[in-house]
Amino acid sequence: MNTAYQNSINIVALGLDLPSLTRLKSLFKVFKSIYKNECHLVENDNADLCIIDFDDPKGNALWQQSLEQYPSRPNIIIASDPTVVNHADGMTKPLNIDLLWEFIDARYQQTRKTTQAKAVSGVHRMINQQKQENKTPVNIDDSESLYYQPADYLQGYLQAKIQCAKQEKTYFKLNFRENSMIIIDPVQQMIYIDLPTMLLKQISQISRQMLEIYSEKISETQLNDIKVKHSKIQVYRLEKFLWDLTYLTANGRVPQDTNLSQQVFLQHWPNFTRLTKTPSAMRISALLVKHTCLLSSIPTILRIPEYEVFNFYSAANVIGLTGQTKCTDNTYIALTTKPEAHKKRNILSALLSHLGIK
Amino acid sequence: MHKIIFTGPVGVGKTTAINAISDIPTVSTEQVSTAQADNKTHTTVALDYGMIRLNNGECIHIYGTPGQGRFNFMWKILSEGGLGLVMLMDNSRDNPFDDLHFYYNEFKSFIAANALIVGITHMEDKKTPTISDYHEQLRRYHINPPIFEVDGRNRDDIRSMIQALMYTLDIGIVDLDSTKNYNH
Repeated sequence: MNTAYQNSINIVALGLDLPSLTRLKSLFKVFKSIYKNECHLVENDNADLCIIDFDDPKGNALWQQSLEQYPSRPNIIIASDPTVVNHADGMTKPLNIDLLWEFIDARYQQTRKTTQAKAVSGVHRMINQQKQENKTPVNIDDSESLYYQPADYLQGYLQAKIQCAKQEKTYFKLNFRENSMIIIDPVQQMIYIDLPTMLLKQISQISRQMLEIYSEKISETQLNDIKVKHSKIQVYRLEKFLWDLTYLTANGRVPQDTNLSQQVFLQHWPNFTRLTKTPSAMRISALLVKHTCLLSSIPTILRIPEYEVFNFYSAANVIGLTGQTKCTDNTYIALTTKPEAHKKRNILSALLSHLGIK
Repeated sequence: MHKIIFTGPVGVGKTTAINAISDIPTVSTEQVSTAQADNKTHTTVALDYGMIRLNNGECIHIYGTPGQGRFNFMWKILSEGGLGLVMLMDNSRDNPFDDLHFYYNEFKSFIAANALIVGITHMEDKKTPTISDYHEQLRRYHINPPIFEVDGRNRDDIRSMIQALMYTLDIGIVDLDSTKNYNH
C-alpha cells in the first residue's frame, strides 16, 4: 500500500479483509468513472477519505478512532445494515459500484470545500469543474471577468519555458498525463506537440495549479528520436502556437496588467498568413496600426463583440506587438472621429465576399 | 475601372501570385530573361493581367508590373486608378531592403493616395531579414502597412494580402471570412 499519491484521492479502507481490499483496488482501476485511476488505497495517516467495513468486529472502534483522529476527514460506512450507524453515510453490501462513486465524489467535494484541499488531477474532471465555475458570461462591470493572469495558466508556464529555452539554447519537453507532450525547439523556433487539439483547448483554460506538468531538458538526439517514435506529433511555429494558445486562454479577457483606461497601439500588423486569422482581427489591426484608442471603444467603432477585441489584444501582446505606454511614433493618430467609408466601399466589400466564398 | 497592382523585382513571383487569385488564365507578356533570377528563363516585359469577376457584375483588374527596372515607364501607366499596391519582395535576394526602398520610392505618390501591402517571398529559403526588420525599414517613411510572409503559389496567402489591403483602405467593410471562428 502506498503512502500517498500527489493529486489523487487517497483512500484508506479499514476493516476490510485482503480479498475485499483487492477487489476495491481493482474497482478503482477498472470501472468507468470520472475518478478512474485517480483513487488510490493508502495508509491511514495519508488518507483524504476513509471507508470502514462495519461488519468487521472492530468496525465500530475503527470508526470512532477515525472520527477522533481525523475529525474533518469524511467516512463512508459499508455494512450489511448501515442504518445501525447513526450520523454516518452508509452503504449496503454488496456494494453498488455507481453508488460508491457517487459517495466518493460527494465526500471528496465536501473535503475540498471545507479544507480548500489540494486539487485532484484528472483533466476531464477539472474541466467539468471549471466549466461550472465559468458559466457566467464576461461582464464589463465585473472586473474579475475582464482580466486573467497568464502565469496562472499553461500559457504563462509555456512562455516562461520558452524564455528559458531561448536563453539556455536548450530543448524543453513538457510532459502531461497520458504521455502527452509539448516540446520547445528554440533553435528552429518550433513547437512539437503530441496533445489532442480538443484537450489542448480544454487545458488551456484550466488553472496551472491543477495541471500536472513536469518539464525536462532534452538533447537534439532525443528530440529526433521522439519525432520518429511519435507519428502523431504535430509541428507549429512557436509564434503561431503561442498566438493560438493565448486566444484560447484569454477567452474574452485581457492580461492582468492591462490598463483599460489607457490607449493602446499596435506596433505593426501581425503576420496573418502564418497566424490563425480570427474574426475581425484584420480590422482591429487596420485600426490600431493607424490610431491609438481605448480597447473598450473598439467594439463600438468596428461593431464587433468585445471578446474578439480582448482576445486579439491578448494574443498580439504575447508576441510583443501591442503597447500601452505613450506612443511617441507619429505614425499613430489618436482616433477622434469615426473613420470614413471608402468611396468604393461596395466594390471592396464585394471583393472580400468573393475571395471569402470562392 | 477598379485595379489592383502587383509590383516587385524580377523572379519574386508576381505572375504566380496573380494567377492564384485570377478568375481568368493570366495573360503574360514574357520573353527570354536577361535578368538574374534563379531558375527563371522567362520574365514579364510589359505586364501581367488577371481579373476577378465580382458577384455584382463588376470586375477587378489585376496588373503585374514588369520586374526589370528599364520598364519602369510602364509602372505609372499601369497604376493609374488603382485601388492599392501589392509589393512583393524576395527575401533570398542579396539586398532585399534596396528593393524595398527602390519600389517604395517609385510608387510613393500612389502609396500616399491609396494603400500598400508588402508580401515577402522565399522566407523559407532565407529567414533573415525578418518581417519586423521590414517594418523597421518602412517606419522611416512613417508608414505602417501590413507585411506578410507569402508563398505566391498559395492562394490563401494572396487572398489574405488582398483582404488586408481592403481593410487598410476601409476598416468598416466586412466579409464572409469573419464567420471563421475559434468556436467561442
